[in-house]
Amino acid sequence: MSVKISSIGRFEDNSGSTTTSLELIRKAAMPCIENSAYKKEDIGVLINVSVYRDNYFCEPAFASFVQNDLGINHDKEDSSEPKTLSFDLLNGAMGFLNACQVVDAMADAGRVKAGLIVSGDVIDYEMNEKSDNSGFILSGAAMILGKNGRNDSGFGPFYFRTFAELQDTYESFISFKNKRLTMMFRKSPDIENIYLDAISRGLEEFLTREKLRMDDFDWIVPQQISPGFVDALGEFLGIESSRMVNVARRDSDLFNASLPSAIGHLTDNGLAKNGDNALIIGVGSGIQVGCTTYRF
Amino acid sequence: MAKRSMIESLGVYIPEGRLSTKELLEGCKNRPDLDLEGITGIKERPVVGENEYVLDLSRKAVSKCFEVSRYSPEDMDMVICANISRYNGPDYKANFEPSNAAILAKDFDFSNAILFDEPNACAGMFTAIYVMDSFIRAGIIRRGIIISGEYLTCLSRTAQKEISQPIDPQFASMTVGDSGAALVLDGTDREDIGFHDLDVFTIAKHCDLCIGTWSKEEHGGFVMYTDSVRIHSVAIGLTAEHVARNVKETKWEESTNHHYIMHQTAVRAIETTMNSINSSTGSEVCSPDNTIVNVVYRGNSASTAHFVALWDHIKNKAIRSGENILFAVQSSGINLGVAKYTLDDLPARILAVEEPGSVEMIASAS
Repeated sequence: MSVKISSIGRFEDNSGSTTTSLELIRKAAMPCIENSAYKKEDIGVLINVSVYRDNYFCEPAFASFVQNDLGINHDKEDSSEPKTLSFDLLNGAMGFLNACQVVDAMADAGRVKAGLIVSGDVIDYEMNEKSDNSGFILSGAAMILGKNGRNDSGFGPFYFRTFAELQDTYESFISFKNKRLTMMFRKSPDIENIYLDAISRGLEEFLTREKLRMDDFDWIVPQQISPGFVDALGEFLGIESSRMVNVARRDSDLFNASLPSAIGHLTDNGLAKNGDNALIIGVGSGIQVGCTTYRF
Repeated sequence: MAKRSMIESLGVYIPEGRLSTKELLEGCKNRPDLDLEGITGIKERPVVGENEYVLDLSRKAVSKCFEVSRYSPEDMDMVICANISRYNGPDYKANFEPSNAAILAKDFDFSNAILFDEPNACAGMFTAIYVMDSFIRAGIIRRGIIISGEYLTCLSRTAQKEISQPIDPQFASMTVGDSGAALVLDGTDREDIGFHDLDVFTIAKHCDLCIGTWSKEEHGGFVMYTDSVRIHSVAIGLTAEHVARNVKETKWEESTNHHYIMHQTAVRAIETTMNSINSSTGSEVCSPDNTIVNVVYRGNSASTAHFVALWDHIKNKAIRSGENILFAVQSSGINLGVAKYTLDDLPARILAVEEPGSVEMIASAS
């Protein structure tokens, strides 16, 4: 039995006044925890997938700041008490999907009852010179996964594929020049077409491996890079727009918040019914493609 | 579905450069009045060569790992990079995307593997083992590789410019050394080898005791601020209690041929942890004979420290095939963990590659 989504929390700051990862994550995670069937004590693993975070902290894992901030088993020292393992999982925009599989595996192995995944990517312009625009919207996202619920619902098999020959088409890094830190994003001007091509190759492998057809799915949940990208993917795959979940923001990549935003849109608005099947398609730097299924 | 996981292969790369503690102190802009070697027991540490960065350390460790392994890169179902440092080029270039694991997929044939970076301070490689072991036990993957390249002496270089007092928040930055480590974690149905018990968890109320970030000074660079007194006091106390509980509950002290490998921060810290474990268990389970001290010539190599210690002590024949190891995990965060492990013939296979012609009696495996 695979893990299911217990609750989702989302926060978007269109005003730009929320400037820290920790704040974005807190504003998404608190309602997520409140609305979950699980208690804080049940969260055995906390995974932060934010690639870009306050002060570019590299130690400790940013997840430990989140665990402390949210008060999730943060002071449990005795072996008889419930424990939480917190760590960062960094893999560009693929991190959230990777983390879903990690929670699934840890639950299958009997190691955790539930897991909390959080993201809150920000470019810390307090510290560095503003150069290339990342194109992110300031958003926090949180999702609690666990095994409680119907046996026939939840995530299906996961698939990940890296097209390493396309690696140089997307790079981000920080460097120190002229006494200033500078965050650089180098993306091919053709990056969305590169993504489409990688998805077509990866998706075919996934569907063949799992003996699935596009007609098996009520909903297609793609990476929310831009409205135009989602439309182009639908056209590319020959899927009518009513089945394509498109919550992308104009000129703002939802990045690691893509999956929780798209699934949250389906559940919050009563669009997905019990038994509906979704095909989730992630794409990001690497160039990597990730696919899985979700049954509501 | 495999019952547990085991370290099928290990590769460690130690860069050739060395920096003595004396040289390190002499290079300080304002030389602090402290006996760093006396306090830490660290005489020297490996340092990267010119134009050698995190991914170079990682690649060399991976290549060494596959020299020992029965497998090839394309046999890996999962790749996790666990390094803290992301220093990967001139001008303090730190890469964010693609992930290090995705970059290495181009150097090795990892294209079909599940891959991501999973930094978790000095507990990174053990956190990766815990995660990958879950995938193996759940039957999702057969095996994978865990990689870490730690270029840490950049912290020492910043400290040399900024340190100004004997008790300085950058004191711990003077203890680090550079290295790369990679291990193949494979599934096994055998109950006499591999990881018998494995846990890692985070006591996040202590998350602010060691912080790695960027220097705000005009010279730039990476910086680490540590409350050395508090983190040692908290981490040693909690580690001793946690190890003692594990030892007592599983009657570990009754097993023979066992070694303790703790996080390698300083000689005195390891000795204090050893004594605290003995106090907590009420018996002398740890002794200088079975507790590995590897920090004297390696410094603190962060996430790779346990595996650099294992590698060095396999090569000097202090750790042999079939022997038992208790790994005590501690890191900023604060993360704690214990892993109880029985070696297969890995030491013999490493020696066969590293020292062809050397003969070891193998308590193995086959």
